[in-house]
Amino acid sequence: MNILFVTIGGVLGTIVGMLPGLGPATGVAILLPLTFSLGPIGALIMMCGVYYGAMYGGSRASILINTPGDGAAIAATFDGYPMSLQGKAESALAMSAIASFIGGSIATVFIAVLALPVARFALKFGSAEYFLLYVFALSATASMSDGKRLKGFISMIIGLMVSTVGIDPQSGVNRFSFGSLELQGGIDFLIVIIAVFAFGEVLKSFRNITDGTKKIQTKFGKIWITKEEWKLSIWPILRSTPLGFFVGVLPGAGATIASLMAYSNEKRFSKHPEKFGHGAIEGVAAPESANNAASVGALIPMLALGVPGSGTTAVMMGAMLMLGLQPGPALFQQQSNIVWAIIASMFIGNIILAVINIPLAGVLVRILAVPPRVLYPIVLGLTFVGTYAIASSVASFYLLLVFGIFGYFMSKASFPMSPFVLAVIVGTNMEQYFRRAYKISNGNMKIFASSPICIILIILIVGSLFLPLLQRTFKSWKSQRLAQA
Amino acid sequence: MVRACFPLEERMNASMIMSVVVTMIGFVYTFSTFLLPDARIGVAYEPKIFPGILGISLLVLGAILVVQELRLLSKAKDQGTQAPFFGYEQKNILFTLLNGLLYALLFDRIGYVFATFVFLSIQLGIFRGKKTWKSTLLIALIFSVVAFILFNTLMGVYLPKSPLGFM
Repeated sequence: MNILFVTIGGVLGTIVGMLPGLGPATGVAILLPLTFSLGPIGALIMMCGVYYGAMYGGSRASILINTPGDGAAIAATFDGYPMSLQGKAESALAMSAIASFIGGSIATVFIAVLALPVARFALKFGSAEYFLLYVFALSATASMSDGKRLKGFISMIIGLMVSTVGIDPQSGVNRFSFGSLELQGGIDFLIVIIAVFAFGEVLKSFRNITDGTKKIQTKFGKIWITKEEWKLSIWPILRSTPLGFFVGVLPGAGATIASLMAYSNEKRFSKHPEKFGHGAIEGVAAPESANNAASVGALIPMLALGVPGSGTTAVMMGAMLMLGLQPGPALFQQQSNIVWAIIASMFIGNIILAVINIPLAGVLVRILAVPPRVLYPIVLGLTFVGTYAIASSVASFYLLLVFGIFGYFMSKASFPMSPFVLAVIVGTNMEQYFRRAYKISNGNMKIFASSPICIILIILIVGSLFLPLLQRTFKSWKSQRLAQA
Repeated sequence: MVRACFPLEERMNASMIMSVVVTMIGFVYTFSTFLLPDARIGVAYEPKIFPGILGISLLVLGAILVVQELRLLSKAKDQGTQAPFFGYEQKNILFTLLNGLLYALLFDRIGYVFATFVFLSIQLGIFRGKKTWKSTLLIALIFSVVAFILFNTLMGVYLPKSPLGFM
């Protein structure tokens, strides 16, 4: 049964991942209500299938219509689409699936080896350490918003504010519900996620909706690669996988940065860098393997520490919390069967998705031929039914509308949404850890610098705040020197 | 004459509006924080600490952003760039929101299938126009029924039924 769940999740995830603008976070959010009746392990396995499937699917649209399914699939457009135009779509699609499979499989071995030691290390964390870890994750995510750091932090603070709505679990004080019974239980973060990612995306589509007349190739020859293409790609895949994995582990970094870094690296290492951007197979292989490795790596902080490392893992963590599972070292101690079921599903999911994506690429990509003017209203329909499935109350529709329009305006004003979503999910826990540490120390703030772990985290927080600034200063100094030379 | 020279629509773009909005949110939130009741157990002001830090932070950062946006706006004005305020996109978003409100009002009254049929018909009409009304109605009907069967019957997720009883 679990194999069936991961297969269904994988196919649905591939389809959702292909749809431009939706991506894995939205895919998990929309498809989450489908998993409610499956029990925690079945639900988690299906969601993991959706998660990996979306990683596979994101690059389909990149290769075939030069429109990435999500941020992590941007790099696949650089060489994947030119390959399509040269009549080599079959090779590009096959390489995307193969590289994703190898990257994901190797990364799964890494996670199987590293997750337990990281979880054991996390047992040394107290309330102060956890609070600072959350601050680091949020500040790293907010700081990664290139050129929009101030807006990233504002977005993060608003997300934390949303998490404070409702009855305070420690004191019973009713906060910011303004007399509304529905708000007293707090605002469900899944509704916020669906509103911001899915509903907001549909609202944004009005800006440049097309009639879906972009021609898309749906008939393919044999989807496979030649020996020569394999020889060119194997080392880029093996180099990019660990890079992608470790970038994915870092909070705030994510698969988008991993895939772009891997692409730049391979271009630098290549004997023929001039071929990149014009249909080089390595230009598809490297980012695709890094992308999948990063998505697996991002699960380590989520599973072992209970701190999501990306917007998508934040959604996954929200789903786990909804299923009554608390990610973190306690999960490894008390419910290790869940953790190993997830890791096992990654191995099997990777194999199944590679098997599905290679021969069925021609079938699955037909979904891209559905006109956006039909697709987006259907996505809206799914957001409403998904929201009702979560909350079982029509009041949640009003929240969906409010946060949907809020997400739309925030995006229009170039506020990054990942910090907002991350903050909504972790805000409650973050506050509870803060207050516990505050109580333990009888109001003495020195507790937040009382252990080596705390001090390291503070250094990392300061680094995440100032490193992008230092990098920009260094870059402009370097370009000034080059200009003078 | 002042309005003709500097119409509000041209001065206020989305970024500027949102920077003012977030500052207002910060102000309202901080004000509401100080009005929160004290905790009856433990430290009285404890439930207000975290929200207080957030509210003040947002006020400060929002104010900084407003100043930044004013500077950018004056540069944009000098370069003659203009931002549209209410066009095709905003009109359709408004219709979508009103449609969503209608959906919320009808949902429990006429059941999931009929309410979704009405909602989707209108929404597809917004996206596709009136000319394709036949296919619009068909798509709306198929989706409503299929989604009901998938969620309610197969997945066990409760969805309200119509007054007719069966769907």
